[in-house]
Amino acid sequence: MENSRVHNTNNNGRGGQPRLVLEVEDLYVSFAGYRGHTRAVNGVSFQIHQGEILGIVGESGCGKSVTALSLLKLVPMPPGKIDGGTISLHTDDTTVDVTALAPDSREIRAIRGRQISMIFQEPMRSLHPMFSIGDQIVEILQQHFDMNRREALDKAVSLLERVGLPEPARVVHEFPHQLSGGMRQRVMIAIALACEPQLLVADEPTTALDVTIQAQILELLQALQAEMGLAVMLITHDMGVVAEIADRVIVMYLGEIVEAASVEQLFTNPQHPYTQGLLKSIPNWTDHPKTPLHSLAGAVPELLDLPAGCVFVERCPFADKVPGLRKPSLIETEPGHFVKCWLYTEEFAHARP
Amino acid sequence: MGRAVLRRGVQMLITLWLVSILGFVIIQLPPGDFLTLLESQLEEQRLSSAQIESALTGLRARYGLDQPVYVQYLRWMSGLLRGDLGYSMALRADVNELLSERLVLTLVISFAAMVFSLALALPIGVYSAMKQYSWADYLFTVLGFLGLALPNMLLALILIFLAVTVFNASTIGGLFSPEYITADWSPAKVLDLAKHLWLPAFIVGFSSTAGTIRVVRAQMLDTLGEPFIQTARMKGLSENRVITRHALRVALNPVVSGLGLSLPGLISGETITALVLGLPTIGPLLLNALFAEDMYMAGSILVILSGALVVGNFLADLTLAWLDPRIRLVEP
Repeated sequence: MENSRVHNTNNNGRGGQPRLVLEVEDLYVSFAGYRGHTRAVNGVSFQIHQGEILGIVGESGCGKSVTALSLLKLVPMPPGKIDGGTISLHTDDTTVDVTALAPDSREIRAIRGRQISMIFQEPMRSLHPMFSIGDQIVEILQQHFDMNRREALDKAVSLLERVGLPEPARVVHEFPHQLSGGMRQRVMIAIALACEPQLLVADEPTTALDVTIQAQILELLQALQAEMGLAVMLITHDMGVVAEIADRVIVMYLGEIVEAASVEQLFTNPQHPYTQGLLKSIPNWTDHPKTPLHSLAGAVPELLDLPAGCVFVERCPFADKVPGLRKPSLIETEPGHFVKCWLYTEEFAHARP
Repeated sequence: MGRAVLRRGVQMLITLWLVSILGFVIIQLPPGDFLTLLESQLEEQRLSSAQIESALTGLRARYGLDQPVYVQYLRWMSGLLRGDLGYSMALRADVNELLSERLVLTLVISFAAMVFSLALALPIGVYSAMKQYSWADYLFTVLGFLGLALPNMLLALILIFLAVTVFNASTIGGLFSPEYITADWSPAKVLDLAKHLWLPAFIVGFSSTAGTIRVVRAQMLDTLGEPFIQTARMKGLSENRVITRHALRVALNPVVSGLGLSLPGLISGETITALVLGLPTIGPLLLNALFAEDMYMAGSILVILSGALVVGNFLADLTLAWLDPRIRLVEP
């Protein structure tokens, strides 16, 4: 077990040290299956502070969604299992370790939707098809606050207005199938933020939307985040989205954090060969139209048989120069910039390009 | 909504009318008619052929059998429109009279079977889905397939056998104790009916229970994997509420449409069960009417059965529209 931590350098220009909201330490999550244990998250540690947008990037199957679901204990168990680590949620007066709570306990349910909310990838399917928009917002309000239906409906209308839906008084009586994907995602945001949680987990909130709507939703998230002093954990595989709104970024690969840095650091000085490869893969509009797109060599290995040492060894262009069969640890190469790669140890500095 | 209901009503009437023609034609298809059977009976009584002929001609004229088929049909149809189902030649009584009490009892049994079936199938189906691949799920799966594979009448025979040999029951089958069979309706008779109802309800409802368990289980498994279930959990709702309010509501749609189709199945499916158990329902009546080519009786029962199907379907659609806003808004 490693115990390196990604420390927060709060450089979102807000001054003072913002309050720590969530602290994940050395989290391990696995799934039992017919063909064996799938280790989805392997020793992930990070922190999120109030008023911060933390981007988590990585390709499908890298463990980012499982990490996110773990924060709310929403990983289906069984077959899922938290094998180790802690998830500490700091509220004004107490600290709770989410991993220790039972999945349907009163304690975790008091956190869901109230302290930590989540929005999902598919707004088309994330709303209940048979309840009106109003009912779906009223439900979360009444779950956490002592409100009668009238008050909750009024609040629902004002929430819909706040997330920028036109004619909220009409929309509140409509059903999901009457709204577009972008509108539904706005409704999801209204539901998620109804009880003014401390942390919003957004799991690829714009993936299923078309590009113009994506930009609107991101702007909305950014505006609400600033307005409410919300902490946001934004999961995406889109580097453009990260560059646009995140303060800090974590790059995950095969269930591990391979690099963590501020957005400026990551885009100006990507250090892990995986991050470098990802950034190179973004098509550049100044390139000649016939330039072949860059792609990372190889394919993501199966989670069932993970490489014993460095997770990236099979695809790393520098694999022959470093002891890839041993596991590197996360090291701080500049203030607030962490990378899990042998190249950044003194021993192998000579192999760096 | 009102317009949609009206349109459906007209469609239903047209459907029933077509069914009545089809039913009538099919009944006429086998060679001969009701009197062919009577003729052979009279021959056995060693009457002279002239006597037989005059008796038959009289009856033929009385029942309109000497008329062309379409005239017979029109006669029956015009009666049907006035609520007169015709005359049963085999039983020598008005069809209305013969059917009315049996129809009520049939509906009572069908309804009881439906209630029994749902009361059992919903909780078991949900439980099976939540504990997928547990030993209880496997047990219900086996029982379910057994229920689907076992004909109702065989189950009836087995239960009668058990009741008589193991539990020493003296009366089994029927819907009433002997003293009430011919008695007029009274509170005591209703109570007696309720006491006898559980067995036929169980037997008639058994296979549809098995089917419904499978449907509910599969639907619940599908629904539980939907993102909106995760949204419901994310809101902090209890698992109970997630299951009953969010998942079951969506999972119920095919069960409701299945119910609409099950009504005639319950009515006609109990024919053999009714024979085995000696139930005074319309199933055995239909069987005999078909044997005897008693066309007004058979035709009337067929129209009633299709009426049950069409009306059941319509009720199911109304229920679905009430349950599901996505259906509500689509004009057919």
